[in-house]
Amino acid sequence: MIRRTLTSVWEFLAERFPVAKMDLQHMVQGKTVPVHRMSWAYYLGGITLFLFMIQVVTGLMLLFYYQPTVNDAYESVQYITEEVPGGHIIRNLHAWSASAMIFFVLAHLVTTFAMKAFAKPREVTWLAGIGLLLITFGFGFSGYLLPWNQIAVNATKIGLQSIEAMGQYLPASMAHLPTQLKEIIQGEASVGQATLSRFFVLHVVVLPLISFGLIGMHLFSVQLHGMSNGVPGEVKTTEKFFPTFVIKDFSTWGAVFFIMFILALTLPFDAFFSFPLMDPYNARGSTPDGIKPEWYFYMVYYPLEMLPYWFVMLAVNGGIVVLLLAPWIFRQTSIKTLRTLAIGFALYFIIITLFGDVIYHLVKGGA
Amino acid sequence: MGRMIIALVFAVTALQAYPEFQKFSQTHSRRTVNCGMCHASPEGPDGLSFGQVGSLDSVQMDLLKEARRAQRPGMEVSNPILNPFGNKLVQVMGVRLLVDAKKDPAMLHYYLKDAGDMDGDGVTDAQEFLDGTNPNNRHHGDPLALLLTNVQHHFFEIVMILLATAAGMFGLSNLLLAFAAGGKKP
Repeated sequence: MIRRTLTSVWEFLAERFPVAKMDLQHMVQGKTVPVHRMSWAYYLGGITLFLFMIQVVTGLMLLFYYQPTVNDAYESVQYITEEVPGGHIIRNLHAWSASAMIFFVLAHLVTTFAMKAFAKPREVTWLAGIGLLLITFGFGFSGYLLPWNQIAVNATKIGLQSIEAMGQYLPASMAHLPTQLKEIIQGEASVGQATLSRFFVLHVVVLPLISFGLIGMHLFSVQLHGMSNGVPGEVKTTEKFFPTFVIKDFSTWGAVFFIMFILALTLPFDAFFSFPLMDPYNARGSTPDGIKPEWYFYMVYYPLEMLPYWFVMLAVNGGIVVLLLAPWIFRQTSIKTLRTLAIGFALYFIIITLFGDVIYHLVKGGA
Repeated sequence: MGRMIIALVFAVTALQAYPEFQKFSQTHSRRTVNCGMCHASPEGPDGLSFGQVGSLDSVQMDLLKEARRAQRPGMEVSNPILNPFGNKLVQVMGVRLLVDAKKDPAMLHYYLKDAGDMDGDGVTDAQEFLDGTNPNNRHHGDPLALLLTNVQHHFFEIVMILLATAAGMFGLSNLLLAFAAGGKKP
């Protein structure tokens, strides 16, 4: 029994990591990329990687000045914005590229799902990608607290409370686990110095280290197996990966860099928030109106405001499990069906992100 | 103890809080606005924290009294419970007009029309009052207005960045083509 299991695991890994193909000829020189009407989707992963690189570089620059203490965090961010030469551009570039990275990672997820890019032998690529998606959200959540302003601390409190609320729906023997998890993340009775320290370490050390590993595995796997066809039937036209596709890929990076830099130069990210939300966090002061998570969490935040908590949590956790098991659940599903599912999710995401507030007021107003 | 008494006296009179303006700006802009638009403390003038009446020393109390005597426009004031925009309001309008304007808060926009742009972000103080944005912060304003202003202001830099990016991509592409050509067998 054990021997058979080990043999199956070995065969699974041998098929996903064929040693014979691990050379420059297979992985770069001889590699081709299918050309069809969905070819644009092949660039989304590269753009996400490039935005991650911007995050690393700008994040390192911010680290020279940022102080991860509750007394100095806000002031150090103000110092970066107001006093450090070019500081506001670097900070804006970090904020804009973070949002862009999440947008592109979601677009990459939706298109690869629609193109059935998770199918055998690309399961490992897919799983690493889902891991990276979750880590990207982790980056967003942990980074949100670091400026230590009103919206940062209050939104983090709400986020952590929603973890704790899960306990009431679990069996009695497990009901304490979400509270324990919240306390582990929070580090003390309320969101304070311990929380800031933990979020800081997660944001600048733990998550980047895991990301580097997963990105390495993801890219290695992509190079090993090449791009999936992505469309039904056979693809007749292809182009060389090197240099044709790589040059196009780098050109999109150039365009993205230009757009990001112009946005960082001309449009302060903070301008989208009401200014009381940008005030330093005051534990004794009143909580200002309009506390919300970042826009990419609206897909969970607004349903939580309108629907029963257990239902939303079930849907979110169920969705993550379905994504992780997609290569096996959708093994027999046609690309056409997958495309319909992907379009459905994309529409939901766009509508709830752009009009979530309007829908919320309609629902609550009608109640 | 002395500070506490002073704070209590001001809290009872609450003369210097102008929630009408805050309410108008908030309703007009649909953005959350707090006392921090004009006051040194986002919690308003009453209390013991920094920028609130209860925290003032004797010198600051004199400045406060002096600012309250600025009944007519044109007097430069440095009221410690107000921020630069709040002090500018007193200077432009004077306390008397300011109190009158509480009946019609939209008048503030009218009086500030020619008062300029204190934070230098390209959006006038009058407009920032209507937009519910922070007139003391050059990184805060209506996003579209800031974008248009900054594009105009940084036009040369934008052209330079465009040229630099295009030149970089051109060079990188040719480098990769050269690598590809070099890798081929003769």
